[in-house]
Amino acid sequence: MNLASALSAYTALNVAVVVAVLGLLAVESLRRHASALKLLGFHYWIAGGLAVTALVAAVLPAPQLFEPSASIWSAQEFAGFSPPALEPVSGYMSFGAGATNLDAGSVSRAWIATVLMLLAAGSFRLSRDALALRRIRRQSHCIRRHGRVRIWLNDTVRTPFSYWIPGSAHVVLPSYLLERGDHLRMVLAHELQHHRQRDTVWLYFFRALGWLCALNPFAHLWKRRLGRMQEFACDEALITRRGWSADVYARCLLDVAAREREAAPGFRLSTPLIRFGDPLVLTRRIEMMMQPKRLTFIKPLQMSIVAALLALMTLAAYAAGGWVQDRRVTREQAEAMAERVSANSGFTVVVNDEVLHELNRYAGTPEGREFMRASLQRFEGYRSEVVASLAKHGVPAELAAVPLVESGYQNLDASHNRLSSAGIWQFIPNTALAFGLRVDGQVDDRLDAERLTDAAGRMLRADHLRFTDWQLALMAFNMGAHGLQKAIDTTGSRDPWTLIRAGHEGDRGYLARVHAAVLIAANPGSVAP
Amino acid sequence: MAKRATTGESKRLTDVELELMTILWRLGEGAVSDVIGELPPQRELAYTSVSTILRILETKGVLAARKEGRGHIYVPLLGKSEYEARAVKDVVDRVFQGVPVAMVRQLLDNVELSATDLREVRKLLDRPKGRK
Repeated sequence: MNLASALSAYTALNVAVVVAVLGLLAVESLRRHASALKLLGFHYWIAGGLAVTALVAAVLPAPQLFEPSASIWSAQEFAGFSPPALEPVSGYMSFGAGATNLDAGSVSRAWIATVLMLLAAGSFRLSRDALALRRIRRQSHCIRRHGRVRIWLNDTVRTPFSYWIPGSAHVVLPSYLLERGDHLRMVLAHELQHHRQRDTVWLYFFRALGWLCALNPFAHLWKRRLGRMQEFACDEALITRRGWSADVYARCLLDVAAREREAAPGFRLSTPLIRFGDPLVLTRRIEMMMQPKRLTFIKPLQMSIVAALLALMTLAAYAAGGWVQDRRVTREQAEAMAERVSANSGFTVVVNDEVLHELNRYAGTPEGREFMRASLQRFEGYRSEVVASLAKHGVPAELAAVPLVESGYQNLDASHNRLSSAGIWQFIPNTALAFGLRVDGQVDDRLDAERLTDAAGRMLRADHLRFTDWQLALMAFNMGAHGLQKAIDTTGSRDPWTLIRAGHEGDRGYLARVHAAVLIAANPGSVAP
Repeated sequence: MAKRATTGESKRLTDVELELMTILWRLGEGAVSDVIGELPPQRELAYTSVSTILRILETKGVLAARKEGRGHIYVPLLGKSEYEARAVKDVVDRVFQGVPVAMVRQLLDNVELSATDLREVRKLLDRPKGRK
């Protein structure tokens, strides 16, 4: 895992957290009087889902943009592809160290510095808390031990709190509570309920998340909302299940909170552990207690909400995969790349915003580069045949880059595509039939790359004859000549980019992608690892 | 350092602890029920609470416990005057920044002292040096 993919995973995690928090907020506000115990369950389900997804994503290899090909037509020429071969020719592809713009080197230095800072801050806080906790423990007296639960009394602590360390659960009570037996019982039951709800265990997850996503306000928002929800849930459990009087219980809360206010400053843990009478949420807690019976969720509804939210999180995280561009191709660099193409060709490469965007999706992201490298390697196996075939039909050799965009030069069968397109050029069945290929239950000529390339050459030639422009011919190749003609008639323009900006295109960004692929095919160094 | 915090050598007593210790100093020694018997009737302190507090005082090194029948008899290890001395030193250190005169001045200015009290104070001041 290199830095860029780590960064990509990190972005995905942060996006997933944002979606999770927004989703949880939506659930909370849609069901105003929902049971806090149930809502807490939502928080934990989503957090668990996030943890599992993150672990799975970290263990599994990155997803492929295309399925691996079933059969590769000409595998004999695989070897001997060396991407950086073009680099020494001119100095413009200066992606590595010493580049002028926002290059990988300076990005990674900035990120390493950020990570180091986070690490330092995190370990500082952790050790400070551990020290404070040790100090409290040393001044405490264990008054009861029951299984893995230990109850401590402390003279200096003003607020009861709980914590869990693997193997044992602890409750620390201020010693003044001994004077109020009734309060002591309530506080103890409350703290034990935190342990029962596993709040003290989840604390570690949320601390880690807060540290990991220290720059993400949503992670902190989540931590805060959860902290409140844990208290609401505890209160609710004790009042509804144990039948405690909300009135008496609220008085106990107020009493403890009042004692906390007397506390001498400087003897507090920096991040709240699970604490009993946090004055910040006191009013809301008492309001909640006084409310009538809370609504619950039926299990299937709860599970489907959780599943939907998890799916949304995964989708958003996946969509965010291409956001991290660790190398930016500038317009100047792209234009220099274009010069290498256009010098000896009938096809003129355009460098505009759309093309630059697509170019950066391929060359600027680790996933894009990996995909393009693999595609270019497969292309080597087909290159001579494809170029010869295109030349036979008078199609510029640069358009051999089209299958890079269509299939990544994978000889995919129809099952990989919802339109049943197949082959390296991804012909749909009707088009294949129109160009004399046989597509039926027994034979699929599209998987014969030689025949399909011949058909593609003829089709591009025909489109060029009709529209007398290779860019328009490419658009027609993607959206059909009929559709393109209609677009031209509607807009009155024959400029492909005007048509695209007016919304007339087949697959989104198709023409720009082809341009980017042409640029990359001519400059394979741009997608070097 | 670590030892000191747990042995009770420098430990201050909490309000309830002091309350119970005062009873034990007066009784000399006693079981939990003896201590409860000495509490004022309006003081609501449960048996378990008193027992817990006494056990904590034992772990603090302030009391010693001796098994007798089904319960324990608690004996003060820390004397009353010893505790008073320590408390005063503590107040001088914490409140008066280690300047005893400041405390004496506050005492004389703000606490009503009878003529007898003042005579007593003078006598203490005139005591030969070398003794406390």
